[in-house]
Amino acid sequence: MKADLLTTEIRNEDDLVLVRRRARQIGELLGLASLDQTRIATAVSEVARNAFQYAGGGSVTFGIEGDKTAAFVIRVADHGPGIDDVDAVLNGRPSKPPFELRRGIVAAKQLTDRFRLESAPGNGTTIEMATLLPKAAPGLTPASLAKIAEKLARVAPSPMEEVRHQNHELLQALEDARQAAERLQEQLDLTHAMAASLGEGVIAVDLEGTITFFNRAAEELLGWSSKDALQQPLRKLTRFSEIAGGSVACPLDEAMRTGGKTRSDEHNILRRDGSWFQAAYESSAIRRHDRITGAVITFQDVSDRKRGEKEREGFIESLQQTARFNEMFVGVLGHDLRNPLSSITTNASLLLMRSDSERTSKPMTRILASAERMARMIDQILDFTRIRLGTGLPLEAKEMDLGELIVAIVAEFQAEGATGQIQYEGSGDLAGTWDRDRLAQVLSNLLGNACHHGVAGTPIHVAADGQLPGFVMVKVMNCGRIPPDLLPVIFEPLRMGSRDARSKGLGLGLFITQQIATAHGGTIGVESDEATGTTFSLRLPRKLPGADAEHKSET
Amino acid sequence: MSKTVLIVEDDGDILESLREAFEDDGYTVVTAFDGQKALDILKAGVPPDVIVLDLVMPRMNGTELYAAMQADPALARIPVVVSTSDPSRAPPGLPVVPKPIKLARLLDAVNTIVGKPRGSAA
Repeated sequence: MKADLLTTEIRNEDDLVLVRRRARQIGELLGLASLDQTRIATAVSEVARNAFQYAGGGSVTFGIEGDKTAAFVIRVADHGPGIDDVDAVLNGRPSKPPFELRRGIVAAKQLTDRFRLESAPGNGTTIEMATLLPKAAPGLTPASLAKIAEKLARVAPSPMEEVRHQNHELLQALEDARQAAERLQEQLDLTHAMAASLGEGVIAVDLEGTITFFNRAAEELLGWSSKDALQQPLRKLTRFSEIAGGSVACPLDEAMRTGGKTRSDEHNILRRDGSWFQAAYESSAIRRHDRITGAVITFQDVSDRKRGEKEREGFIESLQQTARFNEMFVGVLGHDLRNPLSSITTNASLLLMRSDSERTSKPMTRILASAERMARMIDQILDFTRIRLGTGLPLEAKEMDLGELIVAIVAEFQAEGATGQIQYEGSGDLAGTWDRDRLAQVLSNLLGNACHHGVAGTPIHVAADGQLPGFVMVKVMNCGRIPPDLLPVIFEPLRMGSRDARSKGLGLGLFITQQIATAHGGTIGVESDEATGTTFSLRLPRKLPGADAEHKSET
Repeated sequence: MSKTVLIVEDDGDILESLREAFEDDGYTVVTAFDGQKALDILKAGVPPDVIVLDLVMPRMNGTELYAAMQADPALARIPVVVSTSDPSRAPPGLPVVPKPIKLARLLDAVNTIVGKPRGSAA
């Protein structure tokens, strides 16, 4: 479809205003958006002005063209001198005056969707401009076009109305520009505020490497104030180098050269005072309209982090060394010391068996006794080391009768000629789930202490009470007295106070005894005074902490 | 005919004192200084009546030797007494005489196994 709706002549200035008004009016009737109305109206206004100024006037025809993609078409024709550099003008590079005419054509071309210029010197100029109608616009039929034409004929616009409209548009455009500028400024303020408050240093440079932005963290990290830094070349303020010391290209230059990002946490940056710090940074190019206009770098000091990592590694290494040493130590004690000791005891025992005189058997017995004491010390140091290593004392708990164990230990002591009499009294059910060897160790320690530190010739009492369902109590009593200053620290390891002439141990026995009690979920306590002597009280739950099965009491 | 004991022990001093002690007690004593040597002896000749076995040894340790014996029907039933500085490593179910060895206790344990009163001719 192709139809002309209206033709109007250009004879004076007022006609230019009317042409503009008509373009807007018809655009509106055809369904163009307000902005598109302004664009086509401005374009036709430019071209019509050219016709008026340089050709003494002309005619403007408004019409429509096309079916599926219909367009609002305006044709401006004049009979002026014409243009002989059509291609140069359409390409935006007019080669001759009048330039104002040619600039008007270029502007009109940019404002419309289609633009055609026909001109020859002496034959006048015809310019056809078109703006595509929106797809959503009401379908155009000959009937609707006739209606539009009829309306155009009826409603003739006045020049004053168009002037008012233009005035209003100008004010609106100014307001829009002011709001846009305000939003831009807000955005810029926000960006600056964010960059300023960042913990990371931020520096931006332009293409020449001149600093255009320098935030507070950058001031703190580099030692330059932003006042000193802004508008200075970055290379005058700082340098970048490898950790090993070799200098490297400025990452900002790199970012601008490659257009990509550079990042590292293995480089040093130079401070104002000449010192360097290890930094993690990321640098990227700044682009505007696909052109690189500068670069920005964000960076932070990681020397603390790196130093911390190093220290932590060193600490872990020394811990591992200690653990390896401890393992070796335990191995030495457990095997390498016990073997020669075993050789001593077996050979001494052999000699003792072969001996038929007291002259040789007595020293052999003393050798054996010393070797056994040494073996006990090795056991204690091993236990102590295990406890200190945090691996704890492993328990192998089985159902057992504590009374039987006490009887066996007491018998052993008496067989070995313990000084004084040991009396045992058991009551109630003494069954429980415990580590037999460890409890034997506890009882030997308590009885051994009672023998060594008791008063010669006085009896030692051992009592086991199993009358309550949850636990049993064992008491070991003698007539000796523990010095009051020693009492509060009696279970602490390696007490110097315990190393008196009579005690030939290491001062670990009671500590290990307490640890064994604790490992069983039990407790051990001591009371000692002049009147009643010393009593060690061991309280043992019948089963290990965490064990599921309830102990079945037989009483 | 006397009972035979195989003593497997890598410490030469202990090995010799045990040899003399068992010989004093009437045993025929065979010795090996590691598990591999012991296994060679066991596979080559008449099996002993009892084995006294150390655990921590070079080449083949006591635990490995015991496992190898259990895999061989001809050797699996030979009684074993473990003599070790680390009783927690002993194969479960075996009698253990911890180091330092109390000689009387070891002799008692071995005599009980072979059914021989101490001091009597084996």
